[in-house]
Amino acid sequence: MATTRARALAGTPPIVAQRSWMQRLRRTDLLVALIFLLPNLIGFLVFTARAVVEAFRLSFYRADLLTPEVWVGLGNYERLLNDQLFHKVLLNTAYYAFTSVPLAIIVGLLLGLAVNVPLRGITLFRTAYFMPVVSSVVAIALLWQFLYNSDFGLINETLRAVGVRNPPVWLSDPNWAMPALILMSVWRQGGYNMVLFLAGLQGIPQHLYEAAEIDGASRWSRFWHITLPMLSPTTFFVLIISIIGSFQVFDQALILTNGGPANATNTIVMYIYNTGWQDFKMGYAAAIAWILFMLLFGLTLLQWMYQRRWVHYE
Amino acid sequence: MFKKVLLIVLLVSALAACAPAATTAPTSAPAATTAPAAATTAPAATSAPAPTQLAAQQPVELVWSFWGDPPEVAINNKVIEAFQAKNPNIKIKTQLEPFESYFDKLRAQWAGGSSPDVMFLNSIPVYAALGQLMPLDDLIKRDNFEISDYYPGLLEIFKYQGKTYGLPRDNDTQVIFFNKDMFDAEKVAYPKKDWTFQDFRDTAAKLVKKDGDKTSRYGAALAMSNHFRIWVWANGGELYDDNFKPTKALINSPEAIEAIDFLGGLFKDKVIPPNDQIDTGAKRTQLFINQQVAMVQGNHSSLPTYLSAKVPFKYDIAPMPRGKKGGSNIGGGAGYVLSNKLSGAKLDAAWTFFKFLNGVDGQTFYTQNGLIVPARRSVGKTDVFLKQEPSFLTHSIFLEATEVAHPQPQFTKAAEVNRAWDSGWQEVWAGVKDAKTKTAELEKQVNDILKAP
Repeated sequence: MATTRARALAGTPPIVAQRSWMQRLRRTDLLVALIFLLPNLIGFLVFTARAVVEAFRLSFYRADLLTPEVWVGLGNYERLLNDQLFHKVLLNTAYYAFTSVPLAIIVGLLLGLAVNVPLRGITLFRTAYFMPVVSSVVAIALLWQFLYNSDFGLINETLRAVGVRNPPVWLSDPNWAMPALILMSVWRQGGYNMVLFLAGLQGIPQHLYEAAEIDGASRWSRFWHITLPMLSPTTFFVLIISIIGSFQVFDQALILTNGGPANATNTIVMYIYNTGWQDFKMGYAAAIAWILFMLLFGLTLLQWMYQRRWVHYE
Repeated sequence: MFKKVLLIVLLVSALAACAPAATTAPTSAPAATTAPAAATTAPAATSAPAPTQLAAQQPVELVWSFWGDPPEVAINNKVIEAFQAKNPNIKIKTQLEPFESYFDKLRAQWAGGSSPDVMFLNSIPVYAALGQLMPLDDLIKRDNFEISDYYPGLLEIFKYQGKTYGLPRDNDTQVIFFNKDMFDAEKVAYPKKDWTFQDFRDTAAKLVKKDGDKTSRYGAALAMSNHFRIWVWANGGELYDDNFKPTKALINSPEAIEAIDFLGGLFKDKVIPPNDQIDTGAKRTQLFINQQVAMVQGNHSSLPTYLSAKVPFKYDIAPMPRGKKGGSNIGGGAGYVLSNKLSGAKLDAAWTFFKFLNGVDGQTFYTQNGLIVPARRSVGKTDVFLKQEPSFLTHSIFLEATEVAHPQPQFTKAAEVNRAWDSGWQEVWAGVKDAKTKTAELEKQVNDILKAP
């Protein structure tokens, strides 16, 4: 496979030319890297790249997969400009992402710091905080439905006990449903971020702290000047993964609220799903999917560009 | 340079790997409409040169697709057994798929040019419009197959452009279950058969229990998302100008606004729980079993649940309350259809099986197991239906309620429009908008959806 590709890339058949090309390859280690990447790369090309390209093509058609496709040019994209529901889900998703991501990072960092102590039985706590991550989203959403129950839920019982006379009707109130969804996601994502931060924390060389202590640095300045900068590559990774993940939020919202009430928790991916698989407007769904792709691509690129300002590699 | 390219490829793959599955799509539309009937060569036709062999002796294999919970699947298997005992030459293979993915699977099969032969299906006009279903009028006429026995409101949703594409198995007839013990304890009179919207509200309000600031028991749990329309129809309102080919919404009428306002009032005054507590059948059933509501809207399929939960109280059923126009209900059940790709001996076999499923025998099988309100009137009037468990329940109310069934609108954009209704009304249920404002908004919104290409 690799040889045929190399030959194809070389263009002309002479074996001498090919050999020198391959030698250059070996020098750059690219060949080795490619061979290791090949299984993944083939899967990506066949199952993902092809589908992405196909979706791009489809976004210029009106298609329901059964009747003949109709070319509409940029029609689907034009429609998006005036689609109020699309604007709403876009705003909802941004609201969710830009609230839940910072919160989950702070919670994850605090948890990571809290469990990064050499105590007996600390692994028990680490496991406990990580549990939500490995639990099924369905189970979690059902659990939180009980918590948010406006009459018998633990949250409102507690609020009433401390004197709140009319606690929110959480999942039935268009204003409170999104904060409710965000709270649940932060609770879940926090444990995941904790593990990443914990790994980051344990990778910070101890001698830095020792040196700082000898210089008389306070706990706070040790955190601020050593821990945070040393963790910045981890933070960067968590940020990128979280932003991408949160823009694709779907299952939590589907089960907790099914996008309601009154589309208050409807998200881009849920809209794509409904448009494509409930209404069978595949072309339109593909157009929205492409907008989401461009959005994520742009956001990620932006983060790469700005990382130099705040991410410190050792 | 290479490293940079590699990095970008990796980045794109990381982005795309978590991209939604919705983007994967088959490459081309199949020639569904051009599929010639002759394409499926029946085994009988190919073996024609052998003169001694009769077509009827050739074994034929059929695929029957359906969704269903384990109890329903068990009944289906019993049906197959009974059928094959009578028709040893017809082998029935099953294709079981959960409800959530059932219709996607059929679409995918059709897109790939194949189809199960006999299908359990709903939204018949939608699929008939896609050219996948066999019109049955000629066969019904040829064999004088009895169909006048069906409730008319149910038969109508199996038609498309005047042709019959299938027959209903059952109906999703809605009734109000009520907890007799609670009524007795609060000295509230049981619902009468001709109770009105106002009677319903008064009755439910009397059964509400407050515990300080919180409501510890609500009067009733209603199904809003699909069934708000029952209240609109009962009050003399309509949703569309045509139930199967709507060109515009008619919701902005005084009758419909009054019905929506009535329902909004039940939420506002906390006679019924907030919508998130009652938005699935499972949640409503649970509230009734836990005695957190005195009444609950439900259909026949909740009876097995109450029986197996061995609820510790007595209960009975009442029809949906009457509006200005009278009683109403929803006519919308699933039923059986045949694939348009059938021909020859296979079609004969499929039609034979279809007749068995929809005949009195087949209907009785499902009725015996307590799951359904049969679509045939005659089966409903037998003791199999009327004397089933629980024996204290007035089962005949289901039949009376089915008589006033209004056909559930079915059209290609129904799913999209229904989501618009549902999320729109949620603003009224939450008290964010009043019925009048939202009705006007929704009429415009639905008209826009109907007008779009």
